[in-house]
Formats: sequence, structure tokens, C-alpha cells
Amino acid sequence: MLLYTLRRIAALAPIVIVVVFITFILGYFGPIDPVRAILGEEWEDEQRYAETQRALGLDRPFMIQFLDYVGSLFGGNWGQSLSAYAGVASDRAANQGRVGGAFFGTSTGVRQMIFSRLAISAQLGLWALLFLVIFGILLGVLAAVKQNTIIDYIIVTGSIIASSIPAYVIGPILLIVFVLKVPVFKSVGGWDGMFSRQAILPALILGSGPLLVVVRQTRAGIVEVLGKDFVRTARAKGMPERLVIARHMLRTAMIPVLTSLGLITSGLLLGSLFVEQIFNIPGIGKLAIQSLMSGDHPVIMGVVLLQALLIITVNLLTDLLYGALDPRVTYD
Amino acid sequence: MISEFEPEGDAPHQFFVMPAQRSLWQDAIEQLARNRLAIFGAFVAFLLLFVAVFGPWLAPYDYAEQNLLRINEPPSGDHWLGTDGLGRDLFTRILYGARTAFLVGLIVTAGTTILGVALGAAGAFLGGWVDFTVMRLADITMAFPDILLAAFISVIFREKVLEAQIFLLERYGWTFSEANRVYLDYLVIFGSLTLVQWYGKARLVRGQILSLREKEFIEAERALGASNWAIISGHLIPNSLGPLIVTITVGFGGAMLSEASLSFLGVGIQPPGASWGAMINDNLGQWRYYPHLVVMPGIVLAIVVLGFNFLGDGLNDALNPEQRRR
Amino acid sequence: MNTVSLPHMQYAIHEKSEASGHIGGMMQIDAEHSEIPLAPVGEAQERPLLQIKELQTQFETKQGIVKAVDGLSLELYEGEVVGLVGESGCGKTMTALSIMRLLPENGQIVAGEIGFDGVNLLQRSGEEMQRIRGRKIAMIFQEPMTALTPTMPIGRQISEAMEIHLGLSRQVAKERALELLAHVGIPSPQARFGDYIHQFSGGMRQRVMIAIAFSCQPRLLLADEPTTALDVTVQAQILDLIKNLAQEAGMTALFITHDMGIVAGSCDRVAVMYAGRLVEVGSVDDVLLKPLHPYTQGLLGSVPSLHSEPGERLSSISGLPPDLVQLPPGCKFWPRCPLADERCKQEEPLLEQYGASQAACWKADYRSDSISESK
Ligand SMILES: Nc1ncnc2c1ncn2[C@@H]1O[C@H](COP(=O)(O)OP(=O)(O)OP(=O)(O)O)[C@@H](O)[C@H]1O
Ligand code: SF4
Ligand SMILES: [Mg+2]
Repeated sequence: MLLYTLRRIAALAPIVIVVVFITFILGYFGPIDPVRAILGEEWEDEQRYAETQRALGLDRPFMIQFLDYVGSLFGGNWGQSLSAYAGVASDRAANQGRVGGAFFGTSTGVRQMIFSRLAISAQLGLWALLFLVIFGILLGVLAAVKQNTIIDYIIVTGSIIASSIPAYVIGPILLIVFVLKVPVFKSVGGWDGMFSRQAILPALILGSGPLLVVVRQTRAGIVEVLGKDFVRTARAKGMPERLVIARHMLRTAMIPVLTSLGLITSGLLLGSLFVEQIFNIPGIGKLAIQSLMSGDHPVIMGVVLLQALLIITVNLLTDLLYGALDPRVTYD
Repeated sequence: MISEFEPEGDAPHQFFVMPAQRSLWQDAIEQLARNRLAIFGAFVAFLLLFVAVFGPWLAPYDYAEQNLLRINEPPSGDHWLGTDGLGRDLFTRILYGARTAFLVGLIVTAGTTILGVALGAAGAFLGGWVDFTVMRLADITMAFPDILLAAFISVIFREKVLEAQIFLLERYGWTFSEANRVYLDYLVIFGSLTLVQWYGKARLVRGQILSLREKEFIEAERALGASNWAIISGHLIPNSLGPLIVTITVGFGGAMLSEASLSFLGVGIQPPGASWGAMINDNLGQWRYYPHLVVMPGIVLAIVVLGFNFLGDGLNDALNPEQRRR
Repeated sequence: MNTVSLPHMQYAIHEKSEASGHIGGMMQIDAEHSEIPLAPVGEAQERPLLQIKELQTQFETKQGIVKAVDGLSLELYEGEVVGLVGESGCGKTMTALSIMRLLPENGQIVAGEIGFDGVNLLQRSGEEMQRIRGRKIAMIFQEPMTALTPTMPIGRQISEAMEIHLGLSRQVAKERALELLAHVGIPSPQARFGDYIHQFSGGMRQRVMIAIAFSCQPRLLLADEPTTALDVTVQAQILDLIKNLAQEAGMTALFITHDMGIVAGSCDRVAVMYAGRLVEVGSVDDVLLKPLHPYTQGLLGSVPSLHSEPGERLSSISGLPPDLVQLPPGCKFWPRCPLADERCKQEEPLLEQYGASQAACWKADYRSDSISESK
């Protein structure tokens, strides 16, 4: 088991390196010249330009810059936001286009910025995950048990609808309904902590995205075990039906669900570009959009990198957890 | 009088009379015709095609025509769905948005299909380091968050394509999108989405080829001297077509959604081009005062995405009978 | 010969012939009959623990209605072990599953009564049935390879039912499960308590299954070919284990099997099943030595030998069992019966008393005479 884990990690190392490399390339060839972004109007002054370039280390060859980037990543330094240099970047954002706005927070270290935002996104994601796990699995089980009845049909079709409609369509519609028509919520937008009412709508919308996957897989898993001999044995022992489902069917049926739930979790924890945009939640998705629009490359690189690393880690964990859930799986 | 007595019964045999063989496609079409949601999806798809082609003739106004005297109007006889913040007719813009969505769906699907099928087939047929590289590329692409990556790439792309265009203009006096910047947007979205979405089809095609190769009857035919091409056209294509059609249908809807998403984030179609995602984003700030400006394009987008998902779902049930839900 | 006829057996046969009066009429399940009138009133211990009356179990399939059990009546008295034998597909398992009310989705009990301890199980609610299953009636299944949950430790699979039925705490249930594991012959139960089923051999799995079945000390045990899927060497051990445990507990048992050797070695009475109905019922001695029905004779072979080893295959009968969707009129066995005549093709024989046993055959009369004469 330990050996297997180590081997898996070793196999992942090259992928991680390539991921870092690609992220770096994206930043390196990014549309906005950081020096120009910092200097603003003064960039035509060649001497100032060269000075700043040297100060940022951007005059060095590509490979050296890359190695430097990797090196500082290992040291926990993910770089500095361009906003560190006098907020020029956000001015530029205002000229650039649709999304603008000032930066939140005071720190300009990319890692600090990302992780302070991550906390907010993760709280939101946790609610969404809770909703997803409870309702997704419950509905999936119900659909399976009521297989090929109208209930099954309604659940599956309903989940297709819930998962198909993008957050930036359903979000505004729910806002209009629950703020204008049936005023349940007075103020919307922003973030008041995990236990405020404001978290409800965004969490529901975030969670409904992957609902279909969970419902489908749970349903398929349960349908598969429904007629199995061991389920009959559990019933013959006189186990109440809910325990038959919970103890004997779900665990076997859940194993495939787990695979997708891993990826879903990583997605949810990082929040959503769209939900955070619509509800104006200062999470990591909002940060990504802001820095994308303002050309703050170090930040967007950090976000992309974090997400990629998280996805890779979650995949590994899913694999290992798979073995823990299914006693038949052995690692060798 | 003593003959063999089979303790494991023969009786069940009588319950399993094989139904007469029928063609998979015939079956699939019948199955699809019975699926009301899939019919709805097909209807939506055809409507979209129709509007995409004939939209400009159906539209009562020009999509970029502004009337600053009549901004943010609610639906009326002149403007069926009202007007937006620049006094443009919302209905017209939604019709043009269909054109954008359909074109993006078409070119991105074509791009990912060609790239995916080529890479997947190359991996499966050539094996070795080619296969290794393709699969690792797929792994790596999958590791990135796709919309964010596409957004990042499209920002970079736009800049590079603009530079190239300026360069071409200065050097040769030639430009491809002077009149209409929308083609530039198409190119940018096409490039970024293709780069992020190719791997699904590549994996599918590779898997199909590899699994078919394992089949005994293929080996037998090969031994009997069937050519590669005969095997490809006789088995591979008919076998992979079903799953590929499903992936393409779902992918088409997915590509349109991605376009809307990128445009919503502000990195897709740029003004004055019409895109449903961009329309939502443009009017989002005023949802309290002019909700219809947000809701109308949203509903249209939702219906289209839903239609393609229903269609893909129905096709999946019809074309992949082994995983058909009873 | 190894069986002792139980004292109430003679009575059982009388009772039986009374019951067989209704054969033929489709009895709808009657809500008013929640308590089966169990004659004769008085001696409680002579009341059958299980009394199946005119049971009809059917399956809906594309090909039509499969009559898996078709008018079966059988009594089991307190403490006796009854063998249910018949070819594969004749409905033995479905009879047991009907008693448990655990039929597959497409199956349904359409008529009859199943009296258990004075109440009709067919009128119990789902919740009441759940409290009876495992607690009062336990079942051991045919397929040890698939009948246990792969993702739950075997110890838990034994103890969880005791927690539900006997209200034991988790700890106490665990201790009892450990005792049970030792009792059914699993070495080092402490170590194996947390193991999963894929780590066990077929014989060991069946032992776990047995431990589960006996865990709540049920009154009735339904053992559905508990040894068929096992190696010959293990079969005898498992059989002895069940026999001894049942004897210790004074349990009533229905032993379903293909194997006349098992019947001879383990049962008091035997019921022979063909095409969803009983064709012969009697004490083991009577049926095995003096089979009345040609089918029973076929099962026993042309030269009946009670000394056949357990596991030895039944002798041969030519032809196939009938299609349960379209049963012919008359005796269901006639296409395969060497004694069949015109009457057999037209009229269906009912179970009737001939000497000490009951049989459903127009020629049983003659056979029973000739046998008793030759004796
Ligand atoms: N789910 C089902 N649907 C349709 N027919 C069924 C179903 N289950 C069982 N049957 C039929 O019911 C009949 C009785 O089956 P049953 O399992 O009781 O036989 P059995 O006597 O236990 O045989 P074996 O010795 O092989 O276990 C068989 O002919 C079988 O084909
Ligand atoms: S009734 Fe006739 S056909 Fe049936 S078993 Fe007896 S002799 Fe044979
Ligand atoms: Mg059976």
C-alpha cells in the first residue's frame, strides 16, 4: 500500500513538472507585458523600462526564469501580484473591458492572496458538496428503487435540467425570483461567512452543476446490486430495508460514484468562476477573473497551478480511497 | 430408457427465445422516436440550425443598430423582447446570438473531432512513444481546469492574433477581419476550446480501436487476409460510430455552452458581436431594474443546452444498447 | 437406515389428505383468513409450525406466466426435518422464497396460504415480515459465492441481525458472533471477524452463512441446497454441521436438495416436487424404500439404493421437465412416464393417501399394493 502510494506519486512527478511548465509558458507569453503594466505611460522611456525589467528579473533567458519560478515555488513563494506595483494593473483593467474593480485584501504575495480567497471558496464548496452528497445520493437511490416508474423518470430528467442550465442563467433568475418577486433575501452578493443566509443560493447553484453525475452513477450502482444475491441474504436476515440499502447496497454501489465525486469535490472546493461572479463572492474564482481581466499574470498562474495540482492530488486520493472502500482491490 | 439427465435444468432455455435479428440503426431510430425528450432536443437543434442560417432575414433590425432614445425598453410591439442598454433590439440580438453559438459549436466540434480522432487513432495504431505522448498529453490537459485554461489561452491568443493581423496589414496590406471583428473572436474561441476539449474524443477513439483489436474475430479475419482498410471500414467505423455520434452531439452543446461561458467572462465574443453569454454579462449589473434583459438570453441558452443534452442522452440510450437503461 | 419416524407423522398424513380436498380450486388470498383454522384444536404441539396451503407462485416473463409453484401444500411439524427434492427448475427455491416473501421482482404469490405458528404470513405487513425473517425463519442459500456482501466484514454480517432482532448492543453482538464463528468451525474467529468474504473459500463462506442463519435461534430453517455448490469433500462436513446445530436447537427444518443420499441421511420426511407441485410425500423410510410415484422411482434409479454416498448424482429420467408456461392438462409427468395411459393425459391426479405415504398418481394404488404384497 505504501509502496503503491509512493509509486503513484513518482509517476505523477513528470506530469506535475509539465503542468508547471505549461503554466509558466502561459504566463511568459501572456498578452500583457508586466513591465508596461507597471510603468503605465512611462514605458516608452527605454532606460526606465530596462531598469524595471531587470528589477523583475525579466531580462534573463527563458529557461533561467522558469527554473527560478520552480525554485521559488518549492520555497513557498508563488510570486508577487502586479498590483504590488502601484495598482497600475487595475487601472488597465478598467480600460480593458467588462470586468474591473479594485483588488481585495492587502497582501500582494500570490500564495497569500490565493489562500485567503481559497478559504471563502472552500466554505461555499463545502455547502455545495453537502447538498450534492445528500440530495444526489438520496435521489439516485430513490430513482433506482423506483426504477422505470414516473418517479425515476422525474428524478433523472430533473437532474438533467438542473445540471444543464449554467449558473449564470439560473443565478440571475433565482435572484429575480427570491429578491424581487418573493422577497426571501434582502441583500445579495458579497460574503458574510459560511452560516449567513447569503450562502444558500450560491451553494445550491454550485451544487446542482454536478448533480446529474452523482444521481446517474448512484442510480446505476444501486440498480446493479438490486437483484444481487447478497442483497437477498441481507433481507432474509430481517434487516430493515433502509439498512439493507445503507449497509449492503450503497457501499458496493458507491465505489464508482466515488471516482467522480473526487473530481467534483476538487471543482467545488475551488469555487466557481460563475457563481462567485454573479453573487460577487470574493473567492478564488472571482480572483481568477479579476486577474485575468487586469493581466495580473502571476496571480492567474497561481490559480491555474493550484487547480491543476489539486486535481492531480484528488485523483491520487480517489485511487487510494477506492482501495479502502472496496476490500477486493489489492495494491501490488 | 436411461438417458442423460442434466441436473442443471434445461427448462430455462425455453424462456429465452432469441428475437429476430434487426439492424442496430433501425432499432436506434425507433428507440429515439419513442423518446419524447430526445425529439424535443432534435427539434431544438433544427430550430437552432434554421435560425443560424436564416437569422439575418428573420431579424426585424440590424444587430448592431443602436437607438439611444429607446434604451432598456420592456417587450412591445416594435421590439418583441424589448431593447438593451444601447437601444438595440433584444430579439434581433438573440437571433444573431444563435448564429454565433451554432458557428462556434460547429467549428469547435469539427476541430476537436478531427484532432481527437487523429491523435487517438495515431496512438492506438502506432503505439509506442506516440501512444505514450498522446495519453500523457490527455492526462495533462485533463489536469487543468478547462474553462479557466480556455479563458487564459483565449486572452493570450487574442493578443497574438491581433499582433499577427497588424503585422500582416503593415507588411502586405492584407487583413481577414477588418470588416468584422467577430471572425477574430471565432478564431480565438475555436483555438482555445479545441486545445482544451480534444482529449475526450481521442480517448474514446483509442479505446475503441484497442478493444476491437482484442476481439478474436478480427484476428481471424486478419489471418484470412483481410486488409487493414477492410477491417477499419468493416468493423472499426461501424463500431465506433455510435459512441462518437453521442460524444459529438453532447460536445456540440458543450462547445456552445463554453462559448457562452467565455463570453460571459468577457474573454469570448467582443462587442458589438452578439453572444448570449455576453448579453447576460452586459446586463447582469441591471438585473434588479431590467430583469428581462438577463432572463431572455439566459432562457434561450438554457433551452438550447438542454435540448442538446436530451438529444445526446436519447442517442446514447439508442445507440449504445448494452448500457441502455432498462 | 438412519431415520426415526416422528410420533406425529401419522397424524400429519391425515391432516394432509384433508387439505388436499381443495386441490384444483384457485384460492384467492382472503383477508378474513388471517388466522388459519388449524385442526385439531387442543394439543398445541401437534399443530404444524409451517402449513403451506395451495401455494401458487408465478412469474411474469416475456414468454408468458411461469407457474413456478402451482398448488403446493405441505406441513412441517415442530422439530421435524423435511426434505424437499426434485429436479432443477421444479420450483424448490421459489417455494422457500415464497415462505420468506422474498421473491424476485417479477414474481408474485397469487394464491394460497402460508401458515406459520398460527398466522398467515401472506397477510403480514412488510415490517412484520422483516421482524419474522432471520428471527423466526432463517434461510441458507444455494450460492455461497455470491450470497454474502463483499464490502462488509463477515463478523458484522453475523452480528448486525442480532442487534436488530435481539436488541443486543454492538459489543455483545460481536461477542456472540465470535462464539458462533467458533461454533461453526471457523478457526481463530477473533482474527477472521474483520475479514471480507473474498478471503474465504466456498465451504468457509457457507459456514458463515450458517452462523448467520442460526444467530437469532430461529424456529424454522430453510436450507436451500446448502452443499450443492461445494466440493464433495466439504459437503459432508457442512451437512453434519447443519444437522447437529438444528438438532441441538430442536429446530424445524426444510431441507431442499437434489440428493437422495442427503435425504436419507438427514431427514424425517420427504416431499418430492415436480413442475411446481408435490407428487409424493411420506416418511423417508416409506418413500425411499417403497416409492409410489414413477417420478420418485426415477429419481431413486431403477435399483433404489439408500446406500448411495452423499453427493452422488441422482439416477436418470429420460426427457425434460415441462414448460412451466404452458403446462399440459392431465398428469404433468406423463410425457416422461413409462406407465402413462389415456387417463393420465386427460385427468390430473391429486395427492392421496396410499398406505403410509401420499402420492399424486393414478397408478399409485396398484404400486402400493404390489409393493406391500411383495414385502
Ligand atoms: N425471476 C424469474 N423469472 C422467471 N422465471 C423464474 C424466475 N426465477 C425462477 N424462475 C423459474 O421458476 C422455476 C423454478 O425455479 P427454482 O429456482 O425454484 O428451481 P429450483 O427447483 O430451485 O432449481 P435448482 O435446483 O436449479 O435450484 C424455474 O423453472 C425457473 O426458470
Ligand atoms: S398419473 Fe399416470 S402419467 Fe402420471 S405418474 Fe402416474 S402413471 Fe405416470
Ligand atoms: Mg434452487
